[in-house]
Amino acid sequence: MSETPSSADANDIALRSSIDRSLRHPVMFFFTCGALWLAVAAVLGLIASAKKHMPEFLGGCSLFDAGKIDAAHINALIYGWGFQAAFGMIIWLMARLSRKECTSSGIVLVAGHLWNFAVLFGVVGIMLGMGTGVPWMEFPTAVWPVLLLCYMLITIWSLIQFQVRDAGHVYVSQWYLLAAMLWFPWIYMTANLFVFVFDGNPLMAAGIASWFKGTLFLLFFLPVAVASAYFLAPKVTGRPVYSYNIALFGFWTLAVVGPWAGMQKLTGAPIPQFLPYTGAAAMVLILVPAIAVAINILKTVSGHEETVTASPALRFTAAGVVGLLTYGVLSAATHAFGFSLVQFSYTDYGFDILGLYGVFSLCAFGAIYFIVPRITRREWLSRRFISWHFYLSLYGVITVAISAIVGGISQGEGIEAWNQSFLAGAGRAQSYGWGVTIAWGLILLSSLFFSLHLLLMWARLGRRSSHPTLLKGNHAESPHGPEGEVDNYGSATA
Amino acid sequence: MDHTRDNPLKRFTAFWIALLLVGCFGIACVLLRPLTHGQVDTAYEMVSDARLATKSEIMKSQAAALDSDKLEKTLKSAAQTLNQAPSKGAMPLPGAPTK
Repeated sequence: MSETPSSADANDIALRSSIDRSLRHPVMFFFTCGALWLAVAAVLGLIASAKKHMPEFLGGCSLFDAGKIDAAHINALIYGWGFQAAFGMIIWLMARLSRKECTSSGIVLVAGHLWNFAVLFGVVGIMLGMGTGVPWMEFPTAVWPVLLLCYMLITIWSLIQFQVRDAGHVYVSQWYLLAAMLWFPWIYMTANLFVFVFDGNPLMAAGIASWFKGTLFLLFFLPVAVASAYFLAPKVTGRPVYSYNIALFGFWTLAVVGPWAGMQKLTGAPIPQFLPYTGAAAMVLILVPAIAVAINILKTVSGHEETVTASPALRFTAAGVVGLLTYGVLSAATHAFGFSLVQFSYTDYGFDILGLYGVFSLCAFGAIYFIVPRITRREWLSRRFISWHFYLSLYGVITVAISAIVGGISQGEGIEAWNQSFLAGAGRAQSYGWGVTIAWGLILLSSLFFSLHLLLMWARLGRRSSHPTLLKGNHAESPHGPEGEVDNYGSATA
Repeated sequence: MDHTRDNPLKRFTAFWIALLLVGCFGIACVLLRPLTHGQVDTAYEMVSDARLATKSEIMKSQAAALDSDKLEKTLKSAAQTLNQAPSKGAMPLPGAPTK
């Protein structure tokens, strides 16, 4: 941070402080509930993965049938953790960047509670056998209108803040946040109306369901993660974004390429042939915005390696940006050269988790480590907890991605070998399934550390110091400025 | 606060614009629905004419091959023996008296 409390304008500090105060309860509610849902999703993921290589595991209980537990796991991860982390990031970042207090935190909080009840009902409904069976939309059909209503009640105030912001510069983060806020209702409403409400051709419904699954990450989770990275990288290093032109290019390539993704999963299905090919082309071209974002963020923080290592916010964010680059490269490679090997295999799951956890969640953790001390006016309690959270998350997501993607390619080779039985192909992925199970164990451990830490912060049991908790022993070289007095304006400075 | 940009009227307008913007997605879906739903040629419908032609041809040839006089005669003779006890060595008829 380039700005110190002594040199900063007192009005500006007071404004930031009042914005943080206005959003304290909803943001902490979203982050903490999200962290608990992440732990639930990790437990469900562990069971779901174990059932792939040990089908008899918990076989006596119909609640844990393979189809149900898989769906419950991914929906808890997306709607329980992912969306709530995104809500916290969106409402805080937009308020800070628009320099407007939140005047409707009560409504946001009520909508947040309703969202959690709806997700709980959905997950339990799936496990009781009431799921729809449509990927990433498995909740019972009564749930989606409630989620959409809650979404509007939570994000509409951020749209208003953007509209009434003071005249001046629109930040890169605001482009992405605004786009994500508007893209999600578009894809969610379209998908649910055409799949569950309109009695159209079943093939069209299958195509739209694939499109929704492909675009949910690219048009909602990815923009929110990138918005957070574009906010944190310059903020913590005290440098401007490396290139606004590259940022603009990355944004518009994502906006143009992203909506076409998804239907590649239906290659060979009786739908117009250009649709799967366009989907595959979009998944190849997603490398372009991924490179643009990665270059811009990494060049912004280059030369500040010590800061990246020491700051929890920046370390997680940098890891998420590298995850995005990896996602782009692997997506381009598999969709350009070996799609027939991955179409019906385990690889898709690896990509889902790489995107949702390796890109979005790591960036979200970075944002949470930055935001929470500012709204609770307390610093993180334990450097070790943050380190364990980081390494367990990183090793966990790398293991899931490698096991599922490599295992899936091997499985795809087995399926393609016509002289072998189908079971021989499935057997190839079995040993990799162990890797995924162990990885979810690591992620579960990491999320337990994270949840506990977050709960302690919510209870305002954090350190009463203006000095941030850094991932190294010597606090004298803080990238957040020199040590200040206890509970001064430090936690209000950004 | 810049009152020319941020005032209650501006916020009120922004609220409804945002709702309308999101509502537009739903309205667009409703408008698009007839385009996706009206003319659906299922595989069944596409081959149904040929199937019906084949079926009527089979029915005609079966009707032509059937000797209705002989069939009627056989049915009548079977009906006459329906309540008779089977003779020794003959197949018993279900429900027929045994003595």
